[in-house]
Amino acid sequence: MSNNSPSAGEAPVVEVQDLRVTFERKHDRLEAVRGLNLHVYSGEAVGIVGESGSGKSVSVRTLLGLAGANATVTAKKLDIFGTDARRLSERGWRAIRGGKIGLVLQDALVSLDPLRTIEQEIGETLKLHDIVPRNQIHDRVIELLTEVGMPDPELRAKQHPHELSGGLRQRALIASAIASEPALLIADEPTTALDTTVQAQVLELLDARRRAGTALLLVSHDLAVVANVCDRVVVMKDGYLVEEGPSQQVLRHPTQEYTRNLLAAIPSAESRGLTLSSADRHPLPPRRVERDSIVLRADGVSRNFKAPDGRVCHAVRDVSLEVARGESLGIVGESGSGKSTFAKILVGLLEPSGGQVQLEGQPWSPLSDKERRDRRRKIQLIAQDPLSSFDPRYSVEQVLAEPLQSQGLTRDDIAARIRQTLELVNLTHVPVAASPRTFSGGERQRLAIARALIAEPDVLVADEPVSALDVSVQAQILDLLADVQARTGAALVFISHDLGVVHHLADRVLVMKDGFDVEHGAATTVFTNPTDDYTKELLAALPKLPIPDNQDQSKP
Amino acid sequence: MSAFAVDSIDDATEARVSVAPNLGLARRLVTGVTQAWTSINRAPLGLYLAGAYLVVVLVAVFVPQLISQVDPTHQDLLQVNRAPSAAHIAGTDYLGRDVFSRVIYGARYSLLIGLGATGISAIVGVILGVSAGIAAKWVDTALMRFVDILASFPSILLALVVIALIGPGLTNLIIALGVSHIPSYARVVRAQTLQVIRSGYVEQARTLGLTRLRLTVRHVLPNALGVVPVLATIGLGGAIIGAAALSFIGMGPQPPTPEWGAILSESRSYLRIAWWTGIFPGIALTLTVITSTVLGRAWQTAYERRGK
Repeated sequence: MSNNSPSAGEAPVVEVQDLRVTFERKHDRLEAVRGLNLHVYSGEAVGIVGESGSGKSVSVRTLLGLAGANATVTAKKLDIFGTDARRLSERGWRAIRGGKIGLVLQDALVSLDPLRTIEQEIGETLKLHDIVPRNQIHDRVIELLTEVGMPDPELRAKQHPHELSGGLRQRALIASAIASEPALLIADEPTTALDTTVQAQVLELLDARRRAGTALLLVSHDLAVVANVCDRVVVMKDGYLVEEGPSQQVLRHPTQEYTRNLLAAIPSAESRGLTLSSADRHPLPPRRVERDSIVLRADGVSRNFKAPDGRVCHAVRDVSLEVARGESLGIVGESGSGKSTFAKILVGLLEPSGGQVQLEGQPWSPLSDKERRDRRRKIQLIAQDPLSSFDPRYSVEQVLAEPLQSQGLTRDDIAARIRQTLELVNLTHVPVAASPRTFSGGERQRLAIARALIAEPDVLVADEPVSALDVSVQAQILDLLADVQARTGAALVFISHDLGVVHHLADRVLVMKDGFDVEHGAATTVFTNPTDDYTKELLAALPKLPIPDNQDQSKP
Repeated sequence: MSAFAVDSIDDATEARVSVAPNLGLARRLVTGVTQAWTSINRAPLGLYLAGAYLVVVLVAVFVPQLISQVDPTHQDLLQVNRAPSAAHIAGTDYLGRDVFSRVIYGARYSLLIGLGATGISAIVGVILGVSAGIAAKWVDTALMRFVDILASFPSILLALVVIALIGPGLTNLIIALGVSHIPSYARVVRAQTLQVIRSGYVEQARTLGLTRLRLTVRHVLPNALGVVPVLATIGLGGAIIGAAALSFIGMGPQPPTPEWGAILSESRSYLRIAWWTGIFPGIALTLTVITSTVLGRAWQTAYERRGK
């Protein structure tokens, strides 16, 4: 960190003082950024962290003159490469965009033109800014692709974005962003949609650019990512600058309450058995695991799909598990590992091609839909996107009443049960006649959990229930799940790509790759002492946070 | 005016065959006109005008006496082909009938045919579409191939075939037009049904142990059919034009019924000496079609935006 701090006389690449961005809307105004100070030197990496709505993306877009047509931008100082950007014309901005500043966005599939090949995409930047003579464009594109570690660059250059995997697309996007050798590279959530192992590669790539002298401005909601790449970090909330300083210092000795809460909210090995939603972590309510009472059991479950071209795709191959009453089992894997297919088989939405699932000691998967109907309430699914799991016409009340129908309850009973369940998930402040559409992401997920609970299930299967949520909301939902489990004694099968989350809550863990069970066992054993190479690779790729000092003291 | 009607049939038929087998008769033409028209009137002014016109049409349908007390079939051979004047504000036709009155009383027939035909297409289309969406794969395939066969005929030709089989007349015209527009409804409803069936909330409802019937009645139908009234409103314009077109060539209600297509047909021979006999029913027809399309599109926009 200190070895690449700027020499005294050097001017920063970007210097911003008291940046304010306001959006005029039809009836009101939204102050997206309210007083941001920022400076980035060559060869330095600065991270902007914050949750959704914190103004971090708007801030970096303003540096490209892309704040938007209805935005009012004011600043005491907005210097980009020594020029006052407040006076720049659209023409002036165009010379900066793609030329002096490169931008890497989150989703490479929507950021790359689907009709153009990778070579055309990267070549355009080269042409636009007259970086190399026309006849050398092809060679330069191949050079750039090689530089970002694209395997087989000659072939990839001729391909279209949809022919590449997520990781390769992100590499192509970075190659395009660095084509003009920009002095500043802005990356807005560049790894959010990527698997952990791919994320590690992309971060390494960005870091290599920084070491080569490019200034890097990294926007992320993930503190661990920022901690691993950035020299300095800026924490934003609601458009305000909350805290700013060297990464290690901010993350180890946060001075602001908000930063402390944000850090405490991150689930990890250290947070096992503790709450996440407050800065001073409390112990979680005790949960009774009845080892002898197996509520869910899968024996050698497989599932094949037939691809349109006739090939057979093995989504799940011979996976077994046992879940005891009250237990939390984590299933981790990257995209395409078959974990969601497996979840659907467990709750009985898909039939296994081989093997069997047993629910409470009784056969489950081989039964017909009709035979299963009465027991379906016993195993409930919590989906990743709660909103799409509610009928768009339904109110909170209707969503929660549905599982209770055909149980012979009176209307008063149903209303009472709904009230109790809403209390259980801390959702008493919403009117029961409201539509879930008007809810925030956290409230929606609470409602989804309430709907699963009202059926009084013995097993909850949660498929990536927190991956679309902000860290602080995720913390509340994870605390809620632990609380609910302690109170109802339900077993939890928790599926996630996030190793930190699983390490935080799971008693036992199952690691999946390409449909196989590559490793399973007690969570602490698997995470601290992995035996399988893939598990080791996953763990190594996981960005780690520096341990805050207040926790250092609490440990011997 | 006769030229307008004939051209619209040709254009629409060609468009159907070459470009968009899914679009109803003449809807493409109507859409084009409407789009140009709405882009000029970005403001909701167009909507207000359409609403106001709709009120006039509804009055003409239910209480035409309020607008014109003259009997639309009353002939006055001493007042043949008179130009618009204070006595006959839209002139008279070759039998001395009051053109304004004929247009007003004709609204009832055109609307009846349009609504009836749209109703038949929508109801049969919904039944076919939902069945194809929820039934076993072979049922789906069988139903949709049948729909494909219907759709492979230009709808005006299909309507003509039906009329050839069952004969001309008001009821038969409604049936013929209704049958010819079934495919577009069936396809849209099937697609919507499939989308709802694969949605998260139907999946979730399955985990609650709902029966197939309950699932269909409670979740699939209400969500899949929401789009049908919108489609029907837009389709109404096409059906009215189709009705006028078939009537024009004598396949609809027979004289002296004051149906717009029939009036246009009768005016054809006198256009050179009595333009008003064609222009006024033509304007009424065009405005009605535009109105239903404008209202339908506005509804569609609101429908697609709901909850976003």
